[in-house]
Amino acid sequence: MSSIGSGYDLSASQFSPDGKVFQVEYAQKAVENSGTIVALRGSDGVVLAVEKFIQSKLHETEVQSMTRLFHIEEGIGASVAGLLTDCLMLVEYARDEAADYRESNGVRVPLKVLANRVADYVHAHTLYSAVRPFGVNIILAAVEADVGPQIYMVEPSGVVYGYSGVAAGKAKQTAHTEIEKLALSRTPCEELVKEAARIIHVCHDETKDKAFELEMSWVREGMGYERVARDTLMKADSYGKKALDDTDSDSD
Amino acid sequence: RRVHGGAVVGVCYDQGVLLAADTVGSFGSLAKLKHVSRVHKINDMVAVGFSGDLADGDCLLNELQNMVIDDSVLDDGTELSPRAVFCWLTRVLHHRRNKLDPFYNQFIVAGFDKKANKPFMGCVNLLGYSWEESIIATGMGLHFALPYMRSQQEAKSGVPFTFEEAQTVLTKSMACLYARDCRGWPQYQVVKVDGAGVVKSDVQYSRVAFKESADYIEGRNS
Repeated sequence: MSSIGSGYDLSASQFSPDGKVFQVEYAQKAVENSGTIVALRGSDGVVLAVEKFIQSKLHETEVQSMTRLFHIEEGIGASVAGLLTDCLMLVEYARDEAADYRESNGVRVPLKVLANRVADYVHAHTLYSAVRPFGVNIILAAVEADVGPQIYMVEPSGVVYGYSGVAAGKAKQTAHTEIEKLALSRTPCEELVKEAARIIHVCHDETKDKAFELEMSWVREGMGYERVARDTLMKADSYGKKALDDTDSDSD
Repeated sequence: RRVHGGAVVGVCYDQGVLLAADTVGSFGSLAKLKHVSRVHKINDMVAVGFSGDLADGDCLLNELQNMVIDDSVLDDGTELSPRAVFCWLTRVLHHRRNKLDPFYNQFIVAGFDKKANKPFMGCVNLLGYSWEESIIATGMGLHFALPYMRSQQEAKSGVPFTFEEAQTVLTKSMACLYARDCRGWPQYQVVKVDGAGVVKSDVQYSRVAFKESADYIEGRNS
């Protein structure tokens, strides 16, 4: 599956003979090494969940440092997987574009427009040898007035798709399998918060991965973007842990 | 000649601040726009009101609103304090005055300082000159409202107004402005700022009884 670049992988401005841009593929590898992120589109909003690895026991967990959930604009949230510092650049770009759109057009940027702008920016970094691609998958979520909740994800190659549910990072295959089992469009966010927590717990590999902290936020109709409140988060987390323990004991 | 707004009146009371301004945008002597909002909530701690050129005032208001959004996306509870808004406005207005290209406004910044647990009110004008006071009136309010407000304040001998007293002072000031200011207007909005947050009222009406002048109208009571 992974071919050796041998000479065609030194810059993003070169194709390989079999039609790949290796630098972009390597950027995607960076995303695959990061903790899993999940986005679920429910009936009244979108839930974003992140498996945030705790890099050191000395880190203060109460203070939100190196969070992977971001507030882009009123009612627009984002979660990121990949190189965190690359992510921060993209988030800043998204915030600037959203603010600019609001300044010029007087209304909040439609999510599709913002996603496409971010995608164009990411794509631009795959065209030149002077810059390297972003090692980031960024998920953008909002509730649009006319079409309802929306999720878009931008990948390091610069492609962007709309989703009803999506995951990125280490255990994205596992997560996708779990997401496909859910009846997303009929489920309210109150319920999806628990499911998202459960999926993150399922994805987490106790043996191979570091300890993690569950981070969640949501965008809901009429309520804008918010980090999930502490007590709701704790309940979802325990639900997730318990569901995982039940499945484990079932398989014994 | 540009569209401009009339007086803004502000009164501090023991627990907070009240700000009022009428809803007309004048074009010289023409009451051109009748539903203009000249008092605005900025965030949970601060409100501003402005008189003078409405385009300039809206421009600065827009900037302030963008700054509030910039704060809110950081998700850490940071908010512009009343003094921060006051300082920012002063600096911007003073800077433009120095370039001989002023924002032609007088702003009142009303807020509740959560750290000091006290109401705050300040005024900045087109020169970039600013001052803090517990009673402020801009434009024509300087002549029609301020003397009355001062007399009420002096009668209290240093004790701050209660909410009801502040409301009365404000209502009477707005009524006086409608009655005496040729470019006045009976409809106005009030913003209340206190420890619980900022609340903007619906449009209120000045009730002025022109009793004295009625006698001069021929045919009345005949």
